Amino acid sequence: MDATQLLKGVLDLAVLGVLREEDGYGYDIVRRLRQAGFEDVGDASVYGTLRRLFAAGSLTSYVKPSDEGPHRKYYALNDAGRDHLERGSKVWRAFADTVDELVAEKRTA
Amino acid sequence: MNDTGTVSEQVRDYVTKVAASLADLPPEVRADLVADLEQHLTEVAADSQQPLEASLGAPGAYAEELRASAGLDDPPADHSGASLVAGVQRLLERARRSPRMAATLRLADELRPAWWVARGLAPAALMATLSFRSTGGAGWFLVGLIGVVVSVDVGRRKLQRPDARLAIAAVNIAASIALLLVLLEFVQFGIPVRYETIVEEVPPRHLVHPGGEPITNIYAFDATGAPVTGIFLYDGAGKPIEVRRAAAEQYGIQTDYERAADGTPLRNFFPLRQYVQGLDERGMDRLQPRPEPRVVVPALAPSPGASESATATEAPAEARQAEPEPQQEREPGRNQRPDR
Repeated sequence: MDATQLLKGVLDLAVLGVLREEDGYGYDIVRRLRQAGFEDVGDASVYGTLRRLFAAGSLTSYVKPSDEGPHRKYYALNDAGRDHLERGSKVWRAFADTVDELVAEKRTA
Repeated sequence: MNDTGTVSEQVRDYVTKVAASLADLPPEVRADLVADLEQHLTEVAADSQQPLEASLGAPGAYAEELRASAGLDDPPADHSGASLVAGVQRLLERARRSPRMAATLRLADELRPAWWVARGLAPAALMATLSFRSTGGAGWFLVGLIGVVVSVDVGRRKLQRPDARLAIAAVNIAASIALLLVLLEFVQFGIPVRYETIVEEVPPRHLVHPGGEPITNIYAFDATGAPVTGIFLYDGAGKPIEVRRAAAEQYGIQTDYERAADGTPLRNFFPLRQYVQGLDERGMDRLQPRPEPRVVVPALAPSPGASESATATEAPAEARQAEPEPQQEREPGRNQRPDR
């Protein structure tokens, strides 16, 4: 089992988490995720997740004019998105704790 | 270093291919999905020296990953019944989406023009193999050319009408069968070649005239037309000129060779004694001596300063009266028997 499979389940949360720090555009978000430690995250996966979260109403978007390059489409968390992240974090926490407990070596009393 | 011109070309090309892999989606969904893709990929491309496909992978794979992360792979909430057709369709859908299948379909797409050409050549190829493997030249070339032109033209038109597509499908099947037959012909018989009849030059087995007509016997006459019998014939090297009985046997003529003192048959002692089956004077069927041929010897050219001997003047006079005809072997002609 490699991290890619695990990531698929929580990419939503990861993206939302990244955007909570700061608004970002597509490739920027990919870079930030990779820098955070998900080196192998696929560009298509991030792009698709952004589209889906946007379609689900968890993100807003705006175009930021840029002098040196093309106009970029930025995504930002809205209230629904923050709420989604909140709930998702709790689910993740519970899930991760359960897994930790299961895989941890039991110490004999 | 990528310059902006080729980068945007690359990106557009990549996006087009990704969109192509998503062609099964409803237009609005697909449009929404690729809406910002070009801009997004431009950023990706700008960040790296590599060509897009190196950083992102094949467009087909990108499309699959995109499809999955955008949640489009999720089965619809309600399955309309458990009908077999719907189930098979879903299976096909899923199979078609797999990257390998998408790659295979793309390959098929790229090979389609090659199929058009092959399809166009099918009639000419079939004609060629059916006409017993002899080359036909201009006729087939023309048929082949017309076939290819028509086939490619039809292929390029994207026909929509169901009956037209059905007709095309039928033609495709027929062409496939034809090409398969042609292939089997090759496999079984090898590349068709023109079969030439080779006339093998074998030496005749007995004495023949130029042209091959057998010589069954030899009759000698002197310059006056008198028959000469009981002669041995030899060629320039001293080799006996023999007439084999097999030559005459073809015509039902039997040969009885004169024998030498030691018993060997003298095949060069002429004329050979020969017999044919025939009716005698009493009408009975028995072996008869072969009749001699009737010939008239040609007159010799008068030699300058010819002596006035009786024979000399006689022969030319006789010869002038008779019809000069070449010696004939089998056919007793209209000639007269020369006077002695």
